[in-house]
Parts: sequence; structure tokens; C-alpha cells
Amino acid sequence: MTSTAQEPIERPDYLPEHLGAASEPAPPGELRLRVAPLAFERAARMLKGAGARFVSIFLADTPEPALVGAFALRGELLVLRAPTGDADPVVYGSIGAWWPAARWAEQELVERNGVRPVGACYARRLTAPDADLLDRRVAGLDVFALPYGPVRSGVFEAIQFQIETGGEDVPRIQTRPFFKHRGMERRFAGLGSERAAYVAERVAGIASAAYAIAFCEGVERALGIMPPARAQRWRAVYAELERIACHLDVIAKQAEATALHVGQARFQILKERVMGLRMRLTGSRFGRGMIVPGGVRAEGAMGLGELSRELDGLERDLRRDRHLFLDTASMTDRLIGSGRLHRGLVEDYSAVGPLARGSGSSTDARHERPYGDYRRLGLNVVTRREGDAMARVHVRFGEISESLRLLRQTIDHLRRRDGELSVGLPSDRRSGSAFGWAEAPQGELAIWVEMRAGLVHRVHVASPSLRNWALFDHAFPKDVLTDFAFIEHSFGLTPAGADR
Amino acid sequence: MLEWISRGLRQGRVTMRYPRGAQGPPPELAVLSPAERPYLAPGRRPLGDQAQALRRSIHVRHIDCGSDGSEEWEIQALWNPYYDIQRLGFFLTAAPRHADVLLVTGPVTTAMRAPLERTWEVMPAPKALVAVGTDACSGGLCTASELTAGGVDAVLGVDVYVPGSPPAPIAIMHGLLLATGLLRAGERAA
Repeated sequence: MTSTAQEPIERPDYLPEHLGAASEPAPPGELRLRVAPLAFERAARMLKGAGARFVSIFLADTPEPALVGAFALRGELLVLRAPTGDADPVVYGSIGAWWPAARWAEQELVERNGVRPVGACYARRLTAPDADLLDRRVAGLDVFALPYGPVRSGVFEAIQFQIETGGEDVPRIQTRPFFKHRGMERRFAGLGSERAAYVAERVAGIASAAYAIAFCEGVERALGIMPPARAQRWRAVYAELERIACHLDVIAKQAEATALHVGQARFQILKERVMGLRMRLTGSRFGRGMIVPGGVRAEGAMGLGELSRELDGLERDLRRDRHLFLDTASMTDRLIGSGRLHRGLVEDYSAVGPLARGSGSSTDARHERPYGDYRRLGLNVVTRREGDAMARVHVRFGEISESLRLLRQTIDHLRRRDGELSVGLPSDRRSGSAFGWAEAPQGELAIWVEMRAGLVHRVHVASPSLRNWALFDHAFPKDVLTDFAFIEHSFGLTPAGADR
Repeated sequence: MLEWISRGLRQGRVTMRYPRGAQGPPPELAVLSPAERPYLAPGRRPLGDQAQALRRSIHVRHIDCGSDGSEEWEIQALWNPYYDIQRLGFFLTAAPRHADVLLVTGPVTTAMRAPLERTWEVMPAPKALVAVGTDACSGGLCTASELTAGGVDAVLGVDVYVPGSPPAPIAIMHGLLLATGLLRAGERAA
């Protein structure tokens, strides 16, 4: 299990020899390759050719300063590492110039860390958004540019869209994130891993459990420990409850956008029941404070029998409401065909989560690189091919059912066997680095964790929301301005996770 | 549609009663007296009086200045059937010019500072500002730095602080009642 005990892995067949990629020991599920900075771009091209999905690009500090690209390929997380030495600025061939998925991540790196990707041209400042800046590109009679946000109607998180429209059709949309950048990654530095888990829960509050799991997995893999089976089961319980709550929230917002108020109230009631369930189980409406490095803090405060009865009731009511929802023509008419995203586009942008699964891609971290209890639970990945807002609603309904099934299975396991809740962290103040990942309700989340002398040294969050927001610019192929609300809610993303 | 309505009727009432006794509102909620807040602009005190005059028709506007996203969920929850704050006369409004109360979440990031100030400026007096969540109250995890102001009161005067990460909907409701003078500090809803 320890990262140093592993045999070096052979160079994979999709990377030609002349690139000089050398494999390095890494925790299981992760494949680390070292290349020279000058070969970085070519290696990334080879990976794209081999069908890799872009995850992130950032500067790492352990074991040495390096430019790191992370890619998901064939059930492994491929970490491409180019040691930079003392080079300042770091110069490498741009990836974002030819791979749209990498554009925002690379631009963030340019603006925050001053790296120099050769061949890239980033005009607008991404990380320092200006609410008043209008950047018009569509010319024509009666075409106007409308900045929507960061203060928006209703209770929504801050993000801005610049919409260029002639009134109905939307020829161009520009998504502007980073109004909410709080520097969360920096808050981790120097903390003990247990306190850092609290910070992880607050990067994106509505996906607390997923962030805590990904972070704790990262710490555990970096230190070479494995949480006990019972802890992994409890983590799966919290993660699946969170998925249900997030998906119900999206569906309630879809109903709100179509002015289907009774439907909205029905789904809000169901969501509130899940929140109350988490409150009784953990003492927090968002299930916070339970997941710690090494395992979980405690058993759920609610009897397992009671929990499963509550879930039965929830499923019964949900089934009826879902049937009604999908049967209401005023609702489905607005969703069918809206915001259609083709599979090619989704793959070009390396989109993840229900968004990608609604367009025929079957990416799901729980299935691709099973972690924790998902190694034992069989997961049915729910996918649809249509790629429109309706398909994403279908995927979410399907995933709620699947989550309920997984929950039942997990509760069954928890009832049958007792066991330890956590393992102690190693006392030798060791160092290490690893990726931890989890499938958040918004999509695949990967967190890079560097530990030094037992303390968290550096953290990089590759959030699903940032990768998926980039696709929003293309979500209006044949849609009109009034479809905006459905399409935005059908993405179901959180700016807090994207901006960090 | 009929089926929807019949589903709703069969459900019955889910709206919660205001918690009482030992289950009462969290004690740390604080409303500042006028002496404690000399920085407040004139006209901010009488919102409570106006609330009476308006017969409980208070319009609420929310602005996110860098929260973690969970505070928004809890504020949205106030309008769900469980909390149903509309029965107390609180309405969400899209336009700051119609708003009486501003709910602010997050520690105020650099990019949100100007939008926050502008939103507050265009709100007509009398008005009240409620900081929702620990991040908004004190910065929380995000202490003052070049990225965040470290709390709303570093930018604007705050009338009611609702701490919590995130505060429960019932605590936010309590904060709104305090801000509009429908409830006084230390007093419990009957």
C-alpha cells in the first residue's frame, strides 16, 4: 500500500519512446510519468489521441517543484510530471491552445503563477473578473450585450454571464467565473490533516461529503494507509445522501423555472426530508464533520433500521412525484431539445458528471476508478444519449434511484458486520503526495494533496464545476434567451467549487 | 395538473412551528443597539416601525459575496413549504431598488466588493443588512487578505449577524425577524 514499496510500472504503449517518459512509483490507481518540460505538450497530445480526459494542470511542490498535468485514461489517473527546477517563469508548450478542456485551468495557472505556455493567447483576465466589462463580439442590428450577474434575481451564487442576443436567439454567451475566489487552496497549507478536512468540506458547501472524501482519500493515499471497511461504508452513505439532495435541488429548480409551483414544492419537501435525515444522522444538515482522514469520526446518530425506513418512505413519495413530473407536458416541452450538447463537444471539454452522462459519455469516478466502498458495490452508470436538458433530468432521476439502491446495500452491510471506524494516522510525520478523488453530485472531483512532515503542505482542487462551466458557452445552439434558466439549472453546478 | 394539486392536498401541512423553549433560536444571535452602531446611516433604525406600517410586507434581496454555496441553499429553504416565510410577510425580490432587507453571504471577495456596495447604495431607506453565515460575520475561514475583506462589516454596517456554517433556515428566519423589528433581541416568538 505504501507508495515507495511499489515496483516501477512499465511505460504505457500510447507514449512513444522518444518522449523519454519515465514512470515513477505512485499510489495504486495513479500512474505517474516524468517528462522534460519541453516534451510536456507532446506527451499531452499523445494522451489526448489515446482518448484521455483532461482533469487539471497545476504546479506541484512535492517531491520537487514540477508542472503537473492530470488526465483520466483507461481506469487510471495519469499524472504527467515535468520537474521545473528553479526555472522562473516555467515555460512549456501550451495545452489549452489546442485542447478546450485545458483552457481555463491553464489560464488560471498563467494568471496566478506566471507560467508561460508557448502558443497560448489569453485575452481576457479570467481570475479577476470585472462586472462592468462588456466584451462584445457579435455585430448586427439590434444585437445587444447583457451582463447577467454577479448579482442575479433570486438566491443564486455569484457568477456572471455576458449574453449577446438580438432578443431571442443567443449567438454568444460568455461565462465569467471567479467572482467568488476566496483562496481556499491556500487555507490548507500548514494545517494538520484532521483540521484540513474541515476546510475541504467548505470549499463547495453543497458537496461537503464529496470534498471531504476526496481530500481524505488523498491524505490516506499519500501516507499509505487504508481506512477500515466500516468507515468506507459510512462515507458512501453520506456521499449518496448528498447526491440525492443535490439532484432533488436541481429538479426542484427545473420545476421553478417552468413555473410549476406545486411540483417545485413537492421536490423541495423531498429535499428537505433528506436534509433532516442528514441532520439526525450527523448533527449537520450538510453531513459535515463526520469524515476525517483515517476513517469516520463516529457511527451515524440514527438507528440503521430507522434510516432504512425513512429511505423507503422517501422512495415511495419520490416515485409518485417523478411519475407526475415526467408526465407534465408543460414541463417536458420546455426541457426536450433545450441546451443540446453533442457528445463530441462534451468530450472535447472533458466534461464530467450528470452533464456528460446525459450526452452519452459514461464517465463516473465511482465506476472508472472505484474508491472506498464502491470497490465492493456494483454501480449501474445511468446514461442518456439525447444530450438535452431533459436527458440530464432523466440521468438525475436515474441516479437518485441508483443512490437509494446503493444506500440500501450499504446499510445492509453495516447492519450485518461490526468493525473499526478509523485507523490512526502514522506517527512518523511522513511526507508524500497523492491524488484523492470522488464523484461529487456535479461530477468527478480530484484533489491533489501534498503532505510534509505530517502536515498538509499544498492542495490543488480540480473541481467538476470549473470544467463543466466552460461548456456553458456552447449550450445554446438552437435555444432562445427564455430557455436560459432551464439550461443553467440543468447543469447543476456550484460556482463556489469552481472559484474556490 | 389536478393530480399535482391532489398530491399536494393529500400531503397535508408540513410547515414547521416556530421552535420554542429549549429548542428556541440559537442564543448567539445578536442585534446591535443604536448606541453600538454609530456608523449606521440615518434611516436604518425605523425599518421595524415601517415593517408594522407595511403590514408585514418586507422584500428581501440576497447577494452572494463568496459563500461556500450552502448558505444559498438554506436561504432558498426559507421559501420551501417547511419554513414558508411568506406567511410572515417576507418576499424575495429581484430588484435591489424594491428591497428592504439585504442578506449577504460570504466574506466579501475582491470582485464582489463593488457589486455589494452598489446594491446597498440603490436600496431605498429605511433598510437593513443581515450577514448570513460565519464567513459573512467574521470572515470565518477566510480572514482578511488581498482576496477577501474578511467579513461584511469591513465594507458595510451590519444590523444582524447570523452565525453558523451554514446557519439553519430557522436561524436565518430569526435574523430576518430581528432585522425588521418583528422580534426584539432575547424575545421569543409566541
